[in-house]
Amino acid sequence: MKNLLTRRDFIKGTAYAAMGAAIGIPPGKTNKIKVVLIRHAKALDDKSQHNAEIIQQMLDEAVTTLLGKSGPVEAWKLLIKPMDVVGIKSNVWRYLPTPRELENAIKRRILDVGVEEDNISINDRGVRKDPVFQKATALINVRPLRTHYWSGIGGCIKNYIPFGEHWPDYHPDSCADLALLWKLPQVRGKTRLNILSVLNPQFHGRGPHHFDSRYVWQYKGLIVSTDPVAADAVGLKLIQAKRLEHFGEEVEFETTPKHVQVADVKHHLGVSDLNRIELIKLGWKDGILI
Amino acid sequence: MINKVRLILLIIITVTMKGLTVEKLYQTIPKEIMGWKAEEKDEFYDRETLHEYINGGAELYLTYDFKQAFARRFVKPNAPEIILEIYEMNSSKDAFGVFSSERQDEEVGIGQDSEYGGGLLRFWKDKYFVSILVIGDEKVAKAAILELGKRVADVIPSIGKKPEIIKCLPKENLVENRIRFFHTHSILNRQYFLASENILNLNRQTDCVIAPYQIGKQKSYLLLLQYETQSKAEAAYQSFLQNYMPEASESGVAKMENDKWTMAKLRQELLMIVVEAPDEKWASQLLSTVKFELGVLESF
Repeated sequence: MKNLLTRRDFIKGTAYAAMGAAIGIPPGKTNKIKVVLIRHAKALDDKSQHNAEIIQQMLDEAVTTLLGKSGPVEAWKLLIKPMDVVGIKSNVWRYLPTPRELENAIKRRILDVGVEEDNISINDRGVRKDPVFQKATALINVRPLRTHYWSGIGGCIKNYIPFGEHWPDYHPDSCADLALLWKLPQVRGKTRLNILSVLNPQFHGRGPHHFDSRYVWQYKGLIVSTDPVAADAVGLKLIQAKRLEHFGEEVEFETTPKHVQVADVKHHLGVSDLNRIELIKLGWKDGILI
Repeated sequence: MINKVRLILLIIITVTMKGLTVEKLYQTIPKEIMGWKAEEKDEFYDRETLHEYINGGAELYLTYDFKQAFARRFVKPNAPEIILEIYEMNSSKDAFGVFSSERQDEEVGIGQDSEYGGGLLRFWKDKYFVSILVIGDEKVAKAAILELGKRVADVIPSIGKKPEIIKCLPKENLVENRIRFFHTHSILNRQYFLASENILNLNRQTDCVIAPYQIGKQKSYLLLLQYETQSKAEAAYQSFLQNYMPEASESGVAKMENDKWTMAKLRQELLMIVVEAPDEKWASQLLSTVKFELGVLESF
């Protein structure tokens, strides 16, 4: 069978090469993609309330480090221009939405750059009909990290599914081709920054809504990158590490999250190979796992 | 002749009862439970619209023989919301299949099999799979969730049969609450990723079960696949050997790269595969204890 990947390929550690070879990708690319992981012990309190001030500090430090600038506004100016029309693609999943404090922190810096407030919108499921998103010149992608029923994990790549006209079109083969969303006209080439909230990620889920509060933990972090695939690859590594710690053994994902790797080797959206990612860790180190 | 008439009458009565049951079910489910009151409007979803409700989560139900779903939300001042969902399948074996697909917690004695954990009650009875979830502090709502579950189970009048193929599983060393019943390649890969392509030729007509067998820290999985015909089972066996372990040839056994053993064996329309066995003998013994009962298989 053409393009067949078996469990044995993963055991041998040749899955990545096998997938690349199957679709004509030469091995050995060495450019490293930067991903920043920043954590703060007080980002959430004991009642899971988010600390807006600390989250702003975390975002600022992550973005300045990622872009090599001394101040947050200076860094954001590399991402966004005052004339941009900016859509902040958030996530409203009721059990674990993007924290309002994080959305506000992003919006504040976009305003600081000089973008008019009328040219900024925060939206999720209504992006196709949102006038700002319809004429957006720049997108900021932000959502929480969690396991997902049918794609293995819900991360930055998957967050763009509301841009699709008919969502089930992206479900076949465990959502393998979610990266196609990023080629839609409303999206293509517009994403300036990806922020994966790991403030309180979910590492296992159950039931029709795939939510179980026992498997949500306070990691108190943000993963930030210009590359959505690299951000998701780091997020996936984190969830794998947490599952190993919690279950005491490698428990298979409900669905193999292959869309992250497929986004790389088939769709060339970004880098999924951790060997090609430079992970910069900032802040609180307790229980960092990766 | 009299017996024939009796049989026909019995069938008519059964069908009529089933028809009434569906309607009655939604009408007789409580609208208030321990201070939580149902919101005014119930929600209904079918195979076309289930995606609108649970997005990618719908794919699981669609691979089983899902018919329709019903959702009712219960609210109470200063308390978390409770969501009741009833998924009606076309057969009891598929209701069991959905339940089994992620079973992990302790039995709580509701319906035919049930579990509760983390604010989520899951159970099945007859052709219905039921989920009751609290959004928020589960301790506040646990008693109400369990009571609501009992009341829902009570209004489902009949019980259903589990898939017959489960009877083929050897009991010794079986981890009972990890038995998964399914039909398709995509669900197999959710339980145990085997291959990116459908190398076992599974479809909605194949009845399959995967179950772990554990002794101490050693664990392997037994996969039983029931095809419609012997020739289809033979084709699947050959495809498995060719695509997954070509070195096994006709012996049907091979050592994997993680030093675990995989063994496959065909018996009429039943394909049996052991994976992750610590040694060849373990795999062979497990396969030899599969309860291959012609009566069971013929009743499919």
